[in-house]
Amino acid sequence: MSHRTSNAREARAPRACVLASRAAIVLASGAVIAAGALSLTGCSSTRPVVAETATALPRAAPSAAQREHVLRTVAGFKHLGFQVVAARLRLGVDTALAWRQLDTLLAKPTGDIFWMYPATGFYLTMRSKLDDAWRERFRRTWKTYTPYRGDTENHFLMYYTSLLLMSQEWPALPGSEWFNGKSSQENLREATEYLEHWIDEAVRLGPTEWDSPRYAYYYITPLVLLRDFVADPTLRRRCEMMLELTLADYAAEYLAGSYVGAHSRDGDGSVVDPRRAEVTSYAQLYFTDSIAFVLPDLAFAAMSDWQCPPIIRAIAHDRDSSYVHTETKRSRARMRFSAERFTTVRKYDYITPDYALGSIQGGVHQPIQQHTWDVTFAAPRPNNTLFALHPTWSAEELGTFFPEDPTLMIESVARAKASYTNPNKWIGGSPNERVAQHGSSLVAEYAIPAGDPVQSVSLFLPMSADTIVHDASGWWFVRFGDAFVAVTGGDSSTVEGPWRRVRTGPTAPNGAVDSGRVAARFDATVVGVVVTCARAEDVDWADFVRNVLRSPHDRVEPLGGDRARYTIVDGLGVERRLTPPDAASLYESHAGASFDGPHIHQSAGASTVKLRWGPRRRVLDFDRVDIRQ
Amino acid sequence: MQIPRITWTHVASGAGIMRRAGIMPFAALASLTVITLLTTITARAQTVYAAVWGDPRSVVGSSTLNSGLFRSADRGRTWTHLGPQNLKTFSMDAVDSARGRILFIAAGNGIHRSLDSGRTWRIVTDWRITEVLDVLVDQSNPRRLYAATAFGVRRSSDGGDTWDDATGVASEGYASALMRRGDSIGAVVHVVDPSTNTRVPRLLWSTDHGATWLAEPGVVSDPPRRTIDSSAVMTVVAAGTDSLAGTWGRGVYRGHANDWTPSGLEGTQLWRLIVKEY
Repeated sequence: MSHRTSNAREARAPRACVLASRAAIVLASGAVIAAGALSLTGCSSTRPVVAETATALPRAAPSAAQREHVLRTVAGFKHLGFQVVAARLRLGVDTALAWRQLDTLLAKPTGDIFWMYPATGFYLTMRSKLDDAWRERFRRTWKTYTPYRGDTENHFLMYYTSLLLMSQEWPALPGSEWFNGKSSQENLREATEYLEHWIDEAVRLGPTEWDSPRYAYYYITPLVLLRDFVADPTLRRRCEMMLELTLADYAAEYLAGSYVGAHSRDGDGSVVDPRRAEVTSYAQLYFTDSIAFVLPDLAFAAMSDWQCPPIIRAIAHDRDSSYVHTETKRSRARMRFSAERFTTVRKYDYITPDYALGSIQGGVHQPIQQHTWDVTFAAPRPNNTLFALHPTWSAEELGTFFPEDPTLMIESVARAKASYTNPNKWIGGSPNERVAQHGSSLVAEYAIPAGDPVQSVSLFLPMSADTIVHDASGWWFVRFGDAFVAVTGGDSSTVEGPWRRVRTGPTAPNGAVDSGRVAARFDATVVGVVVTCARAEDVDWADFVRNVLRSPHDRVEPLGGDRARYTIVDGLGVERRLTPPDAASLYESHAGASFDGPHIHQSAGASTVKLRWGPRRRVLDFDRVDIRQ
Repeated sequence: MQIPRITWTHVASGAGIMRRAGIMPFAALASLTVITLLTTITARAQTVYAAVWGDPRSVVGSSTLNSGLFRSADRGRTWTHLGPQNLKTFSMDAVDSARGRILFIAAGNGIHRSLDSGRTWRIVTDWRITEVLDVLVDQSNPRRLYAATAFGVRRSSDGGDTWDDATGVASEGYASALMRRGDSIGAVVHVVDPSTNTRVPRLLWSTDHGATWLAEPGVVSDPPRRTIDSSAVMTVVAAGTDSLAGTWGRGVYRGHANDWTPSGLEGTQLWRLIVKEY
């Protein structure tokens, strides 16, 4: 494999960036970045990293110019937020307005952990500009406002990051001065203990909210704040190592602006348009030489002196060869309906210069927002993805992961996450889905019981594709840039209108943006969606189609019980047999490693993670709290 | 006289509750399906607490609006908020002998304790304990406390200052409710059924303060749910011929001869009502 980092594909980002600039992004905190607010000088600004020689590392990022650009952009946002006020005060623009806005933000805190961490970030980055009266106002809010700690991994990280940093700031207060009645030292001790515990578990066993295009944003920001402001040098170093690991995990599954493969929690918008994900803003800041897609938290990163190590940047762009990358993660903690509190998640990605095919084994490991498998295309266009799902919902799914009454939760969740009970949604896992993948081919089998509220499987096909052909055999052939995909769910598909543009409003809280899709629906109780992909470099389009059409019409062979083997001929003419779920055989060669692939390796349960790029190595040793080059 | 405090989740029927707990049934409850709680209010009962989870704009996993603990000193006619605002609250208990001075809230953030009738509060649990669905004071020794959490039963022997896991089958699994019967502590816990390798709700009893637990035969199950004005009834308490019902979204209702009228906390999602004699 060569390790040349210059990659022309990254420079072809304009169309993706145009889309991002149209989007109205709603953060999990509820903050809305208005349409147009993301517009910048054009997408040529998201330049790829360029190394001077084939094996030289790129420089670290962000640059001073990127930082300046981020701060100026955030300072121009119209919404109320600590990040916006911080950017204005740092740059000295609209300062009178900024101080008035700070007054408002402190007058009536709301938003729980989504209030805590920006307030903490603001206080610590702007401390020198705050007089005693402002500092006292901040301190008072931490006495009078009781935020909900939340119930997810990212919530706890935001909560304890904030609690640690603020108790460190006011180290001698009694419990009567804190919202939770605990003294500064008690809060500091508890927060430190939690963060140490979280780092240990997330490193050795894997995070429960893994690879989230939406929520990784809410990991990176607290980790930047911890890296910058934790007083204890050992914990500070470990937090910095977690920040590196989070970004390295992302970089290994990054393809030209998209987070590829399966995700624990995606967004309604980003699942059909991967480059619109919140975490893309951090990818541009840390993986590229410029930035076009700015979200508020980046203000804190721009005020930090931390830079992404060059080897991680190089990994993000090393796509000259195709490779398999696997990961072992964990489910969210299960409360009901399961004997195990955590279940193991097996990730498998086949990443090429032109596309990535990625999956987990199926089943529900995170409620509501799971994304189980997809093809992600490198070509820089909107809706650069293709996938199928069983768009179901159930009280059992919610009751497995949330403590509230399962039947009542369906209504509550549907109010907050409008797509949950919408059979036309594009997000969510299904207990009736089993997946097998080998390299560039995948089978996703859906066995839908009679009582399920959704008796069909939906297939998302991007209208931004160059070519979509629906063959009489039932195969769809999709050409997207230099990637070819063949997909079929059998002969019973019905097309929801050719090239239909769909206003995603109610199903996409991330903004009413045209998702642009061709949707197919397979109405059957057992659907086996078969996917096989190829690159234009390896086969021409006509041969690809011809080869796939040689697949046996009767391609499903019952094996007894509820298992079946699928036989197809892939685009290169090679016969493939896949038996969902075949995680055991797929991962046999990887020995259950937490990470395995050309860029990251971590043995199962180990506390040491090795990053690799060409002859370069970087070892994150969480036991020794040491980074070795 | 100590008032029986009986908290039941997933029990077969109101009649079953009363029979097993040895309490006389109330006429007003005859037509109600009791889901989570049945508590008697005697003539001496003075105080009713409402554990409010949120309001219909609340978000699972995040914002909990208009939530927390409310107290009524006039049997549910008027309500006063106690303790932290914005608190996803499932239940509460108090040291009865302290007559409202020592209070405990079971909430998403853990167990909150007040030693001064609700003026100041402290979270007495840490990061290990979350999503607390019920709390129970052992009134015979109020230093002993029990917490039912989404991940098992926890116990304290020092008034809540420190906590450890219950042992055995109660130590893990979704625990939704706690109760006392004589010298026994009961808990509804989802335990692993070896025949199906999944969890099923069982009623467990301990006579040694949570060290060992015995399961009652059979699986407890949800009865059909009663609604008032299209809102699910989560909790019912009775007072003579009157009843109070806590609903999921429409606050508290007062019932008399099956005629239900609003009785405060309009628009809130109640998890439980708890009554005390003081």
